[in-house]
Amino acid sequence: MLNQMQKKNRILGWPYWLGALLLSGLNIALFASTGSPWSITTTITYWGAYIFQTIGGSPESWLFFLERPMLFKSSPLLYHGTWLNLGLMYGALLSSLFSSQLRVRKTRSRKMWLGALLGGILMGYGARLSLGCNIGALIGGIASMSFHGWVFGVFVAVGAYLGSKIMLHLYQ
Amino acid sequence: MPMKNKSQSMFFVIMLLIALLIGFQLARTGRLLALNWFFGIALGVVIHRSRFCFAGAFRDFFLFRDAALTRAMILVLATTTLGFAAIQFHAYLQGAPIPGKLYPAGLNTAAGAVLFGVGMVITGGCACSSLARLGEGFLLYTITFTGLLIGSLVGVFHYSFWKPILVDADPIFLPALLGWPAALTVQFALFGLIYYLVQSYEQQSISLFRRGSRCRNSFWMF
Amino acid sequence: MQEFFLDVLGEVCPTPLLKTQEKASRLKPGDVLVVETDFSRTVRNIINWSGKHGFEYDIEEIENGIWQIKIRINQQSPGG
Repeated sequence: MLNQMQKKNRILGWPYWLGALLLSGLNIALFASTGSPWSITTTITYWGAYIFQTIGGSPESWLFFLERPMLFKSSPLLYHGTWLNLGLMYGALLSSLFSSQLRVRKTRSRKMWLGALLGGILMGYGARLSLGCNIGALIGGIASMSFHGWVFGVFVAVGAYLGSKIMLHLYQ
Repeated sequence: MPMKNKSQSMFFVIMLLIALLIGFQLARTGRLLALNWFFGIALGVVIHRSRFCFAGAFRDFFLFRDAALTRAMILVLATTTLGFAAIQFHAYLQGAPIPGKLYPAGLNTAAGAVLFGVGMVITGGCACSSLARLGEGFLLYTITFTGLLIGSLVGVFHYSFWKPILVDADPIFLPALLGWPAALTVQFALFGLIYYLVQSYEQQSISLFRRGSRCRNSFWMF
Repeated sequence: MQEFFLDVLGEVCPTPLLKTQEKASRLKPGDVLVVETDFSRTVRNIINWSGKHGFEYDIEEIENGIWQIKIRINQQSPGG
């Protein structure tokens, strides 16, 4: 009987509410100890800029980066956000290994790649427009009691609704 | 059914040691980097273990009337608000600038959010869960990640175009507008309201399912 | 009483549940649907869905990171 329970737990994982409390606690602790809340897409923006610079572009002349002159003075490996994002991927990897659930999962169809690429581009662009993704703007913004967080929340729901509709059409 | 499971515990131990090594190496460069690394790992572990996904909080609700993640998201919002408010109030008492994610709200926020919402449902994960799935081994999310890089870059390129029109305002900090007690009350009232609405809709649909009613479409309108 | 197999390996949320829903709507009470997936999140998705409809289910991890969910259809399932 206990074995059944253990098996179920191992396969199903922790309950959502536990994850919620832990994510929240970690975010708060991160904010308290480093002065900046959890953010993902800002880091990705910087990564993109560094890569672009490496292949010959000059993003440092763009307005956004002119406002942040310190950024290109040092390598992305010295930027704290880099390690937060890398840590996230690594943590998922570790957790999968712990349950022996790590597996290279190939995609079923080429069509999905298109959806993923398009989805990623939309997310990246949208996150820049609203100066944050769901972690930075939705969670971070609302938790910081900033009005922009709520605006983001309402409209991300709209977007998700549209996206769900699109998924249904694609699927059917 | 025969189990073809190979234990990956040894890999786990090796990777854990590597993580600690990286952490200590980073600590020598700067405390901030090491902190972020370990926090990142913790976040990744939690997201994977609890199968969390913010995209799912919206998508599963709209497509399947499944509000489990939605409720969890509201819980995240509520508890994080409390913690952040404490940190912010502490700064306020000391006369320091208020820390946190404070940005102006405008048309750009709304437009960006819609794009983000569509994108996260199409790709099958929000920003954080995409990274986590990458860590789990889903190759698909390398494409998502590439898209994120491209999209962010183009978005930043366009920043000079839409900034003057849309972003040049002050952030609206609710406690500055309403006072701290009122702002917190309003936020929590909204959390409670959304929780209640979402929950009651899910309950409604469960009773429909149990009675075996035939629904035309799995997609519904609020 | 028949057993049906649904392979959704490599599919990403929400596709596995959409396909499960569609397949289940065409089955008769007493049939068993075995869904094979490698997407960790979707296992919870499908289980929540099964629970809501009052279907019995069981989960098995047959290989590192591949899960099989056996669902027994108890009643006519709403269409997808």
